[in-house]
Amino acid sequence: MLAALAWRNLWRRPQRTLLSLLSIALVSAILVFMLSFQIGVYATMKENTLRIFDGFAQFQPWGYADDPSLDRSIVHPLSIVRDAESLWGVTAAAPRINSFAILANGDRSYGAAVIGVDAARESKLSSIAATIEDGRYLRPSDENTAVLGDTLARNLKIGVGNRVTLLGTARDGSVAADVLSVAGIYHSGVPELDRSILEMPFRRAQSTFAMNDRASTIALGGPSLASVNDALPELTALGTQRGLIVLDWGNLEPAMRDAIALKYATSLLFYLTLVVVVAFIILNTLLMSVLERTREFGMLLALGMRPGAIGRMVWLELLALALVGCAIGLGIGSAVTVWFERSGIEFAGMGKLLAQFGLPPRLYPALTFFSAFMGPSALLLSVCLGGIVPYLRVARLQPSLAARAP
Amino acid sequence: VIDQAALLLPLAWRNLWRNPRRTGITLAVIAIGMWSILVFSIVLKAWAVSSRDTSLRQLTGEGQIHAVGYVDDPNVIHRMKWPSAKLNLALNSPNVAAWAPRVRVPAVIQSEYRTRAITFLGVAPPRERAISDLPSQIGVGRYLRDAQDNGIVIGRDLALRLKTRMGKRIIVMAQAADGHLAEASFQIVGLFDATRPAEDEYAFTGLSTAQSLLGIRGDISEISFNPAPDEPLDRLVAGLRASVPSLDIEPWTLFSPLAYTMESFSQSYIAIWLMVMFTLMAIGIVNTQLMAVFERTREFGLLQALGMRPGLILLQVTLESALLVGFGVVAGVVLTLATLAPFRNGLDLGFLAAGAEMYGAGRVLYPRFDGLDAARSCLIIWLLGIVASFWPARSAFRSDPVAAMGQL
Repeated sequence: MLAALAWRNLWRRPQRTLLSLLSIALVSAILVFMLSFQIGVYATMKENTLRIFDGFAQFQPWGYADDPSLDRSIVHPLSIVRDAESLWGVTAAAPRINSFAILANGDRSYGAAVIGVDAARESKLSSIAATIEDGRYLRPSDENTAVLGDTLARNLKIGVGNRVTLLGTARDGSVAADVLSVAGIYHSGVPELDRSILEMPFRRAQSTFAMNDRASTIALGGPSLASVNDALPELTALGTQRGLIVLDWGNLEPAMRDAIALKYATSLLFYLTLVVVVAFIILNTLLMSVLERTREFGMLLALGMRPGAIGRMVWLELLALALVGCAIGLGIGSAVTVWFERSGIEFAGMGKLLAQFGLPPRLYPALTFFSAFMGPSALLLSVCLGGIVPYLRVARLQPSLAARAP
Repeated sequence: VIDQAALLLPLAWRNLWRNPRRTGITLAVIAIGMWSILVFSIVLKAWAVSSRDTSLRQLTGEGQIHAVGYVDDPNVIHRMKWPSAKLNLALNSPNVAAWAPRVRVPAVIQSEYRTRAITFLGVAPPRERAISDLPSQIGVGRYLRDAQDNGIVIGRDLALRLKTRMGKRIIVMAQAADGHLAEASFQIVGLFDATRPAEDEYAFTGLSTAQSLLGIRGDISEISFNPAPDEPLDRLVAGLRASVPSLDIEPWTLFSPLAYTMESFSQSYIAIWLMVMFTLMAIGIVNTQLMAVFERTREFGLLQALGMRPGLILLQVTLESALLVGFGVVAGVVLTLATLAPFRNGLDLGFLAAGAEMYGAGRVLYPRFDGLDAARSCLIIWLLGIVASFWPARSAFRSDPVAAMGQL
């Protein structure tokens, strides 16, 4: 009965109710959209960045992240590669040898990371093979070839077909020297990779760096970041058996993880202020209407209604208002989000900048259960909690005084 | 109209205080709304500035000067002469707060156990201190003394990775001006603390020491500069470009794309947030004013019956709103100033400790009350408030005296 009364009360002043609804709906819709936008952009950013080179996760020897030397290696990498590839959610496991060498061409020399890669597996999880600008990517049958980034090639002044000399240290401490012929030049768009990485065939790297039947890391790829994340428990179990650890995306790209955490922290502040201000405005409006209706409440008291019941009625009015407002906001926000999920949002003039983080020039929000319901629920909760103030005010009413109010 | 307003003003003022509770609540809504808009936008801006500065004060500076081609290929061949008289004049003008010359080349560093690729920098310590925070973040040992210093300062994490430590010697190899691979041994005199990527990448020695290693005499690779506090960076960059067209002069946005992207997103977030806040305020004001007018329908009927023209009633209601919103806005500004006053010398986020640093902001935020910005927000709210009150005022104006007086 109270609910029906509360509902009818709301429509006694339709303009006011509509305005309050509008502000609640506006804020909920904004929250739904902004949160979805953030989630969508960050997911794309993570996936695209990891797809370029890191893989969605990696097996590494113990302590490798802190001290990436050839001493720390994975023995018999192929057996664990096959085990990992048989897991659901993992489509490729690419063993790598990560070393460092001085590359020289004539009088030009640069230090660079030299990565031995299994051409067939590598091209399944790293997009470097797809960003070859000149020449071709490594082939499984290749012996002494190499592909390198365009900046590195330009710095060394070499092109496809040229030879590059490599000088480093092998696992046993001896000098690792090799001469490779450049098969292709890639442009990944990430300055760091284009400037500092040379890839060579895995077997050749094994012999050059004295890494017989060993690998430094195994990069893992899958249809999506989420699918590999879902496989993490199995991967961890697999790694533990062999004394390896599994690094997830955050540990592979700590700077990006921190930047995303920072953005979430700052935007949380935005969202909180919106929720607090809209709740404050709604509550003030309600408090004012409660003060105005003292006479009406006095009448109700005189008719035998308990102060608590009146308080609950007022609180129910607020609840109804917030529920309807949040529902409208949820609907509008989701509709707008779905619309932009299809068409994307273009950031004019930022294309080149976004490309550095593996982002396309058009960004797409992603509506998830979390992004849809988080904002509206927070709003609903804070309005309802704040509603205790007018409730207490009403519950304290004295019938004799209230009825005489102007 | 002025005469009428002069007549109505005291009336409007008195009307406001006839129902002090209602006026008080409306004032509170406006003042607190205004306060939250100002305080939060100031804190958010301080946060954005702080996280940007933290990243720029690591090494980048707000702008950099290079020889053409260096940015693409940071090789020793892309070097430039020590600043010419013209550039010197521009850099020492009051528009530039600080500048630091550097030699900066890719190099290989070797300990007895390990080899790593790094960026090798020769710096002029006193100038470097004005641009970068790294010189003051020495965890072990000391920073470089002067440009002739022949010690090397590396990151704490790099020392770990090289399995070396303070006081030991390491070898640096880099391509010299004549093309051969120059190498020299350095004693580690200090270890700096910074973000891990920075600790792993940079190694510093004296400017002259680096110049003689690479055989480039007085040449340098880069000049990093900061504009004076009230000098816009764009203008400074344009001015420098005009005075030395042969060099490549770029703002930090080119060198710190991550910081730039984050800042661009932050700015659009703040803009959207402000718009939503303004809308909410307008709705809040309309709502309370509407209520006030409905309650006074009877009064307006009476005034009309007494011969007050509807236009004047409209004017009066608008005046009341203008006064009310005006006071609310002023109260909001006073509240804001009072809130920010204790943090004039910076808001120390020390209590968040590692949290804030992890999130990339500096330990201390400097909330700056920008009078012009605040005045603009105030004006927007005030005008919005007045426009918003036209709706309730119109319903007052439209009321039919007889029906209105008949109402309870």
